[in-house]
Amino acid sequence: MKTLFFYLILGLTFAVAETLVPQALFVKPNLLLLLILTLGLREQVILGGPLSWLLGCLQDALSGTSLGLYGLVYLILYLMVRSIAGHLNSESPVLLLFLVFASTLLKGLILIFTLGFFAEHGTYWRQVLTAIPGQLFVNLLAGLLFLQCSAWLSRYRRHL
Amino acid sequence: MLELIRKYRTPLLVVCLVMTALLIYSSRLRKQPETTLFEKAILQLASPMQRGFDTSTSNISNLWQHYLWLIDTSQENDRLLGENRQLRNKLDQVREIQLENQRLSALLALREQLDIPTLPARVIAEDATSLFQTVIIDRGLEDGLHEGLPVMVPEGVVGRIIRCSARQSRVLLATDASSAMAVLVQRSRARGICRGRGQSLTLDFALAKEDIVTGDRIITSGNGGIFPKGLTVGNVSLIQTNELDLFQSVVVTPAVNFSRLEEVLVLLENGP
Repeated sequence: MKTLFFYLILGLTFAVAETLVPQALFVKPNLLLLLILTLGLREQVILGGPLSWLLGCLQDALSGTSLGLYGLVYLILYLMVRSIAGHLNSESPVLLLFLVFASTLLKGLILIFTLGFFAEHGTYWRQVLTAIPGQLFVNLLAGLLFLQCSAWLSRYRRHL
Repeated sequence: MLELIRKYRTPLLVVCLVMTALLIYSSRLRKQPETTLFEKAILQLASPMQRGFDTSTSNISNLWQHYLWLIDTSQENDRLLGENRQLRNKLDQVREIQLENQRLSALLALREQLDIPTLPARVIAEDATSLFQTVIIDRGLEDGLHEGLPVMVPEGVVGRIIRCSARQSRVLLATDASSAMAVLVQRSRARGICRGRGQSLTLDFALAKEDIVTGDRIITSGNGGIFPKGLTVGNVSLIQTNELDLFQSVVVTPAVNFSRLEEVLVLLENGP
């Protein structure tokens, strides 16, 4: 329960922080994606599954027009990462960056298909595709920052 | 006599001197504006000396104050820098208030123009992702808002409310891909549907035979029950026609700069 609340509070903080980034910047870093990847690498499906869906819905509450879109996208992403997590060295920092790269592309793809299959309006795919290069860049930057913060946090814990 | 003078030499000299001084003084009192030759000569002589003294003292003073005794200068510099910073801050605040005043005046003028009751609101946050085009305003159910109400600024249509909580609402901008509104070309009255494309708009279902040219103003048609008739949407910026197509492809540049939304007006009743 403690872990659940920790992730939810962190997710809420990330989602609210994203709303404060001006839209004029064209692309915003997807901070919740980093959280989903961490969940996929560390948490079992019983906790990680519902949590990733909840985090997606949290983002939906602050973005877009329909609740559940990002819930579905993040759940699929979580399950994909979870399915290969056993074969990966979750301690490697390079792995997280690779996962950020791959999951940004996958997220775009899942979004296009989800919107294409379920939504009546079909021009989002163009925006998703054009935003992918910028999104990759800012997400990798955010990933680097995330790794740095994790390193500082673990050093601080050891110091305590 | 000489003996007497010699005897009282000193007192007599004193009296003569005093009398002379008095006489000269009293005679000069009547001719005050004139400068005597004596005065002129003295002034002429004194002038280079005074200048030299003045220059050298000011040089010494400068040397002392600017190169040797700098404690006061340093303190004064710090004080002036602090004062400068404060004044700059105040100036920035005044400029910001001035700009806000201009925006609010424009909003007020629009409010007075419209027959429909309106409610001003402030944009407090933007969409959490860069894919969707929504903003959050600081008014909600408690202020009488509900889903579907149109939102605008003096330049034109902003969008409509899609989510409402007690004190906040989310507005779907006209440029979002899921946004669509019934519009018409103001000049030729050609009808169509304006859809969002992220940064611009497209005019869909405009028949190829319709008279539309670049620069035409697009306004809301009043159909659809959301936006009242006659609100500015944007201007036609690109037209592509194909002989085989039934419709022409029209790109519309929005009248509103969506990246700089700060204060908006919510129309409380959907007019005809």
